[in-house]
Amino acid sequence: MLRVLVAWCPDWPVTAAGLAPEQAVGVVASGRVLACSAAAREAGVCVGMRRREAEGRCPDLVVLARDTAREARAFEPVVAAIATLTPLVEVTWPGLCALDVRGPARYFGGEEVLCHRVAEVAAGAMQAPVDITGLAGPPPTAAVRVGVADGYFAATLAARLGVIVPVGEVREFLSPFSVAVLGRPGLADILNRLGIHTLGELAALPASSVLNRFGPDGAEAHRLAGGVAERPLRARPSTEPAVVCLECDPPIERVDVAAFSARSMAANLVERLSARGLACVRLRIEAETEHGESLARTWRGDGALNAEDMVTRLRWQLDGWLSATAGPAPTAGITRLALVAEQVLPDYGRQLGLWGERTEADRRAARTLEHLRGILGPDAIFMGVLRGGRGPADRVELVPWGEQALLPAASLPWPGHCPGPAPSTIFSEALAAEVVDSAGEPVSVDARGHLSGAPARLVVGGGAWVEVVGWAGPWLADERWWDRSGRRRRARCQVLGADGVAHLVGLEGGRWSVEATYD
Amino acid sequence: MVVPLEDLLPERGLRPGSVVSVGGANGSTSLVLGLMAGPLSGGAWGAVVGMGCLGLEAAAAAGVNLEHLALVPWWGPSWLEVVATLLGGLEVVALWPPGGCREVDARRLAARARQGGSVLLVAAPARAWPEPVDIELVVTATTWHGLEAGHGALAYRTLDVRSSGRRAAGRERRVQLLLPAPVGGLVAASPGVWAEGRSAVG
Repeated sequence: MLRVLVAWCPDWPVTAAGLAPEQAVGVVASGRVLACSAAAREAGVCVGMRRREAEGRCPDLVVLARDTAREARAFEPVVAAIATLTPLVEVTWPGLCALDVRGPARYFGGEEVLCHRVAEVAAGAMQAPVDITGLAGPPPTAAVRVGVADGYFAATLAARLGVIVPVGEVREFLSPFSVAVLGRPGLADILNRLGIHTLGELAALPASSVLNRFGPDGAEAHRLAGGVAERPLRARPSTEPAVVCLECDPPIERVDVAAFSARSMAANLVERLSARGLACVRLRIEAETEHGESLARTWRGDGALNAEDMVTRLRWQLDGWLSATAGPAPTAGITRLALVAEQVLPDYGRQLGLWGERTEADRRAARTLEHLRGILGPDAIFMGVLRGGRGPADRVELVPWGEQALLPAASLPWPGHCPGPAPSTIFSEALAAEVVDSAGEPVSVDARGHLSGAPARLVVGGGAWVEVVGWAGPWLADERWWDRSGRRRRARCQVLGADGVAHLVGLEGGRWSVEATYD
Repeated sequence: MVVPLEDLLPERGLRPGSVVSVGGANGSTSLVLGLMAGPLSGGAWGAVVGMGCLGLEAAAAAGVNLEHLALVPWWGPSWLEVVATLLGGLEVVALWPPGGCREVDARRLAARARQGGSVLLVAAPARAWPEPVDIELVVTATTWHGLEAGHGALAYRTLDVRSSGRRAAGRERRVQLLLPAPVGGLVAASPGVWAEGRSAVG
């Protein structure tokens, strides 16, 4: 039976921020509190609460945005410290790591001693007070909690309580836990509605019925609930090791360049595995420098790691290495990068849904654009997102391909926005223009928003004068009047020339310009 | 007589593997967007290369699914490679060609489009493209409706388009399109065009 020790740092996003422990801190991701410090919890803040509500309960709350790279960097010294006890440390996620107990426990003289040693070195690396007790349950302020159980899943729960589950009692240990701890919200919801609230109740069901009703995912949950060791920590010996190496010449000096090169390596690795029907759940990343320094670290994913996940982890690891929080920083550029799929599982794939699923064309397009981004760099390919705004240029945002738009698309009314179809050509820099009335006087807009005369002729960018056959406006936009430097007052008109070309012209600060053309 | 956009093309749609040029002083951008709208609204992917000034709101209004549209606004030294790569993976690529495109480059792109089963839309007159194209579209005249001297607003536009080309497209045809087509009740004053406009939208 596999014995696993899990060391868990509660509220890691808060700890990683490095603020004083007595301060009320909340780390927020997408508007909700992801983690909070003990002081904040005392003030009534809890995880999952809306940011505004949390600030309402605790007015002096320091709100931080989540920074996964910072969390990974800060966790690097902790992992390095634990790795002094045993080299086989697996990082599941910044804040949580696991190791195989058997060898180290014999070496250090028992699981309890090992727990204390792990907690000690981890707390030492975090410069936190050591107040860990392996068996009696840690005080709620403990910086590191350690638990041992049969199997990885039970060990994570044991770490939450800070207990050592005796060999063979994992099923009894797991049975009172709620099905929500399985980390499958959809499944937990259905089970609750079926009257199955605890892992014990789930484990009591016949395995074949669970597989029948819930598929492979449900069967996996059933195995976890029953305390059957799910995935071994040690890599399964594979006849063909899935390794992708890259010799870097010239040596890579920057993390983003390395991450860039790793993108195709990761894609290659995932492709090779998927050709064998496998998915990687544990990845070892190795890097070597010109001076022979080397770094290797094992990462485990929440599920199958895709290429993007692998690149993210490589980036985290190199960030941690270069910031030298866990030992000497590399003295030269990286000459060799390797991705090793240490543990692979059969990839059951997914049933394609009726709507909203990616088709083969989508995947092909994504691959092509990914490839192009490799050639051109991250800021060359864009996607357009529609926005609210008064001017035509304000109404569109270009987002680098593969990144999320900063704001959700808004569809609110914008008073002062020109009616009619949108112009198909929008100049990034407005072309200078002149608009005059029939007397040859430049047309202006008075304080009441009236034109001084009907536009009769128009010249764009030093070209020829064109007779105006139709015009409408002005539409006035007084934007950001509260902001002294960003304030813009503009009057816009649609103007149709005798040559059949319609322009959107704007008057700002006494100067006309062509903002867009209805091409 | 106004016809739906599909009637412009001999096969009532863009044939995979073909090269189509869209020229004309005014209205060609809208025509390119209109041609891309059909495939992109049906789940295909498209790209626009070398057009940093494209009005994406107009593209969306024409029916282009912006989530399936990649933009490479600037040419850069490797534009040929970029377009060739895009033609290998995306169904429709609209190219605003830089000056001095060589015949060998044009031939390579055409071969790439044929091989990948994608469509290359060249947003330039056919004479500016060094290779013969499969279909040549030229906007010969445009008329805006809805905007008068001091009142109204731009509502819709009629485009006179001449289409010619090789093989099935060999016979020259001249059609009139509504681009952008009228929306809402703005053009209720001229019911004849309104009914036609409906068909152009649908």
